[in-house]
Amino acid sequence: MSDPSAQPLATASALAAASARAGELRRLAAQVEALRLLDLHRWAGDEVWIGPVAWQCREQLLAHRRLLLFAADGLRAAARRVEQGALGP
Amino acid sequence: MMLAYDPLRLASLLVQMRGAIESARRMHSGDPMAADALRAVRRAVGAVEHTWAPVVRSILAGDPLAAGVEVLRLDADGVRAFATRLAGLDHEQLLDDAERMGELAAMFQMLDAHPALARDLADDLDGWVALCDQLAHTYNLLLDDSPTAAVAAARARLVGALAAVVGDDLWRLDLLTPYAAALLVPHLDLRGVQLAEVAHGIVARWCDDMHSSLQAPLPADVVLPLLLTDPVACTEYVRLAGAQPATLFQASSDAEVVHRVVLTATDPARVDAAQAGELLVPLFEWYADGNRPLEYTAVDDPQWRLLLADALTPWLLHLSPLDGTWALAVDDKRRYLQLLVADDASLARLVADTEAVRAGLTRSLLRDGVVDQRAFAALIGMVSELTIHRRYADEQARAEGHTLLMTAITTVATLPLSTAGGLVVGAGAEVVGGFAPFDPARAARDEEYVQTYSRVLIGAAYLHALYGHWQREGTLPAGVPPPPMPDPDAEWPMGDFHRRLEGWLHTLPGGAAGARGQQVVAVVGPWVNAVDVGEEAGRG
Repeated sequence: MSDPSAQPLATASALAAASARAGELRRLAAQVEALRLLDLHRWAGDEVWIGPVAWQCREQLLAHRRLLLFAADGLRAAARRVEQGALGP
Repeated sequence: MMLAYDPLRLASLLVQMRGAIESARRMHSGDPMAADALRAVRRAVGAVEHTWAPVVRSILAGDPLAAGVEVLRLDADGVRAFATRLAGLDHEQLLDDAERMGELAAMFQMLDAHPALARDLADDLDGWVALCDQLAHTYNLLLDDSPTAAVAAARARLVGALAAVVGDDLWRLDLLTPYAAALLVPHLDLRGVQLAEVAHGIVARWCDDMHSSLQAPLPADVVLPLLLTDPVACTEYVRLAGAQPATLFQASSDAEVVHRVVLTATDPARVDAAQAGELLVPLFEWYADGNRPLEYTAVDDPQWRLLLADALTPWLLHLSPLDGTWALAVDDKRRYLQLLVADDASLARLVADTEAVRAGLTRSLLRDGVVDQRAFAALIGMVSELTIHRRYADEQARAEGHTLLMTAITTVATLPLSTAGGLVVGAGAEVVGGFAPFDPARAARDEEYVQTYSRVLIGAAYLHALYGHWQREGTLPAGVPPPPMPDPDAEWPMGDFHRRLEGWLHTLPGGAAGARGQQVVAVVGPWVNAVDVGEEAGRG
């Protein structure tokens, strides 16, 4: 017969681990959102250069910006899933 | 392809790229759930590090001055090189290429954001001047080429961008051909006096050399329509044109626009009689001196007399020999009026526009609320002389001249009348209206009848108005009969009327020498003396 008091102790440890992992993922999301890459398009406007190359560059910088922000959202969603998985169904 | 760049700001972009790459590289995580995010970061870093940073570095390291004309480096040397290369463009090809025009416009707009460099360009305007002039020349040639909407929009954008170089330094327009300068004006956002001065300066320059390029479209065709929504600009332009009326009458291929500018400038709703005189007299003088729009050219205007008629209609009284508002010699007044009444169409126009004549006379005649009878009577005399005596052999002109006189007379009969006894509100219209204007059959054989009967009519109209006034006052003794009515069938209407008037005066208290008799003389008198003055002036 198993020790009934062991189950709560194992759950608390898993919860702590999950919380730490989720916290790391959220820290990472914040780090992504703070990347200077996200602001590069501001330094590449019409006052800096114009022409097809310039416009292509700006478009691509903006596209990467959208992907990075999406990735940050993904990290936060992952953090939530980790926490929910630790709590069980 | 790169069109234009600011080397300092592009260098800053490179620094930012390096910093962004460094900071992104510090990101790491062993968590599999962060793998996608880290891949996105690596892709972004890769794009910047391996694609865009090298592009920026190569641009900064390269020599744009040796590159194609499309490249503009936004520093002093680059702008100078750009300015020089502008003149070498294939303008005709350029004006059919919406994309290239858009790029060039973007380059100018970028330059516009750099005031210091714009000044550098302004210091070296030869290229800009050449581009503007060439564009104007080509633009002119291509006006009928029915461009696509995209090309038309790109041309407009390019012209707008070129106009931005002018800025507040309107003198730069003087560097361009008049037509090129005119094309830029719509983009300069000018209003009022400034718009008029710029427009007139351009048209005057063209006029100075007009015979070399009389083919429409002309500079005036571009700038004069801009004035139409700006009455202040219209007035100022016409004022400036007073010193050089060719800028109105020998400059535009659209006479209708010229007419509207002049009529807007002298609209009685906006200018007073003195201002109208300052504007119109130089224009009339120009025509009276024998100047005309150039026949069989783009600037011909067969309707010029109609314009003068329309412009004068509200101010007709000021050509009266006894009106001093316009400070003109009587001879000049006769010359100006002669311009109109000597021509069938303009005389017919004056007659046809009876409401405008009536409104103008009403406004002009009412000085301090009363009628200047002498001025009016003298005008009637001069018009009568010019239209009925001078052109008596012309039945149509005679009839129209008389119609004009009748319009004037019925107008004055409704106006307040100043007398020694005070103000009489005119009620004499029915006196005039109660008679046939004249007997055409008799008028055809008796010109004096036409003139004198007109005088009799207006004299009688005033007399009846005065009589009605006394009646309303209740100051007329019982038994005084109404004044005599004119008799169109009398052999000599004036003599007949005078004879019966003399008889009627004796029915007044004190007779002809009494106070009321003197009032009557004061009312009727101008229609003898002042009309004579006018007729004399009309004879010249």
